[in-house]
Amino acid sequence: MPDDLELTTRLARGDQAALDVIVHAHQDAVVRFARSVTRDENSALDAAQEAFIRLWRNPKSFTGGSLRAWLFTVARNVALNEFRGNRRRTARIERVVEPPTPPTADQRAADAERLQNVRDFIAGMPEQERSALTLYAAEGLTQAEVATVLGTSEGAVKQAILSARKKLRERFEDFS
Amino acid sequence: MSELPHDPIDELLHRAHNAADGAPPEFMGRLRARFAAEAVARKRARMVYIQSAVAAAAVIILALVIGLNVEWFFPHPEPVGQPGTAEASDTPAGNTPALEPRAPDMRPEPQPKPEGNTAPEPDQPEPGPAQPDDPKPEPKKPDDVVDQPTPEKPEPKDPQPVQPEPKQPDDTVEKPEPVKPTEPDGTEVKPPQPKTGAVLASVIAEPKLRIRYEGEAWHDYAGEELHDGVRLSAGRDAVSLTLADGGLAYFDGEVRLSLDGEVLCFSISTDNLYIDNLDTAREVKVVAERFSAGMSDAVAAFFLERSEFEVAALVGSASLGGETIEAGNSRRASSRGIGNEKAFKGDRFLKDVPERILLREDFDQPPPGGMYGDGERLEDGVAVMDKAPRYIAFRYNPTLTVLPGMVVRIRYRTTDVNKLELELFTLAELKLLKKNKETLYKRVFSPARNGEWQEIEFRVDKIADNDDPNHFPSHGELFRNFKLHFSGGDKAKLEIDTVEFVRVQDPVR
Repeated sequence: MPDDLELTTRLARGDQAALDVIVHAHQDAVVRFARSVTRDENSALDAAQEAFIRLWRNPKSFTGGSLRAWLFTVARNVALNEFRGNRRRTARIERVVEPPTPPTADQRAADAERLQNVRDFIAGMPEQERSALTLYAAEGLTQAEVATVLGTSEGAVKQAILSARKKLRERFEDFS
Repeated sequence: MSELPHDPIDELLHRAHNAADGAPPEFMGRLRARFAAEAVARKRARMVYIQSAVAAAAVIILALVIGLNVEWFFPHPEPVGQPGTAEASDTPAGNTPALEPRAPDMRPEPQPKPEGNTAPEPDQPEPGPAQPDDPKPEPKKPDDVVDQPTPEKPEPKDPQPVQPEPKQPDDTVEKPEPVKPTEPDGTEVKPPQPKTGAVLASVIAEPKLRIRYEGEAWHDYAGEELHDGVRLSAGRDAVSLTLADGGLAYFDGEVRLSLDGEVLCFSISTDNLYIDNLDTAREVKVVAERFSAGMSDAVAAFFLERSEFEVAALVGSASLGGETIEAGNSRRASSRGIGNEKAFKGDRFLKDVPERILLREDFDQPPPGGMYGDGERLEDGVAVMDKAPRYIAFRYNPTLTVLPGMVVRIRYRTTDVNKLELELFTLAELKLLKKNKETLYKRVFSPARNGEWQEIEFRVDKIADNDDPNHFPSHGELFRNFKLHFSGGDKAKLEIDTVEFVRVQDPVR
């Protein structure tokens, strides 16, 4: 598979196939991350879409490194700016709900519910911690890349990850 | 800085995060549509730029040509010998003689008709050929996606912007939703004359009712749509209407519905009218004799009796002749003017105001906002769940605004269930650097019996905040989803036939 820079260079030359490759490769991750930032489906889709649009408008603004991290950065900025700028926009926030009596019959469904609860719990964390841990643990970005996406220092990222991990461990202490 | 050591809890997060849905299937399609739209917009912008440049060039050329030829049209009658005016002296002496031979031909007419008529003719060919040339270099840049025809459509509209009548377009009023409540009953519909224009309302439950439009005779209502200018005359029973924007009107006597710009206008000549336009964004005006009342995002009642017009605000505020009426109060207008605001004492007419349906989910099809998709299934118009995670949940689309007098009603059946938990989640504004305020309103109850269909309803404003038993949903809050948990034995099962949110008008005392 061509590397990110090659793809964006092709995109800059008007190669739409390159755009398709980029979107296919990153859309799920970008939408998931945007969702974790906005906690709102529509806003997340808007932000993710905007990230790809901005890349398409100006492919040269990506100058190397991880394209996915670049898309995360744009999506996050879009999401946060939009919330900042438009008070009428609201976010859907699912609070942590005590799971109803834990079932034993259907293990898969129970597992799905448990994972949903983890997502709900993460959604209740401060944005910096939430995004730092998601990018680091779930998206596999390095601390430096996470710092770039969040526009902060590596030290702050490390702190945020540790703090988020601690909360997660406390809440899901039975995790093995 | 070194990477943090691996923590097993990361794995849980990793699984949770990646188990969530990625981009929905339509994401790519929407993205493509945006690319296409942007490409077209870009192309159009470039075209406008090019056209402007061409036009500017043409103007310059035209000006130059005129400048050069001006001597033809305004030849100097006194070439060298008369230094009369400044202009005359500005003209280079060397040029005039050269033009002089032609000048005499044009001389008889030029004075009354300046260059305007004559000049463009020789010049026109110049900008003409330039235009086709210019777009050519453009196509090399634009993207393939540009081909999409849809965004191009607005263009043809431009040439005929004046067409819409001052009456106002339909699109603002015509909503598909309000038509749903009308249950035509299979009655033979024979509209006397097909009407066009905005559908203003639909009749609920079709009681005895006569209608007519200007110039027509009264005829029995037969399920037709109600358009601008319709007159309605209730029979013995009052009539309720679902307004095109989702509001509710209830009246006896006679009313006329029309659109006054964006305002929905009711003219009443006798009797009583009740209007609920909460959360509809449609301003309403009520005209009675020479008085005019207005309301927006409110509930109000209007009574006209013996030339006295009373307006009562029940929720929100209304106005009468420019005077405001706050909720719970009323004002009267008569030949003596507009009276003071007084506490409204109620009226028998309001006793039978029907419910306004705000949301009804019957599970014949997946709800517009989607089910949670955690294992529940829709079977013959019933949502069924008989396994973990033991809830039936769906999202509202759009969100549901909490209104005063709101009631949630659920028709359901349980098997082996001993506890049900109704959860209503609100939307919460995302506040940066602050803990987000989110609210879960929760009501726990038990099924009256297992194995039978039953209906239960709760006043929404009595369902307490799960974290604060003294806090209840308030007007304007936005609910985003419905969730009904159940717990019980191994074979526990929940079936929901319908979920309804309605607004009921509390009696006024």
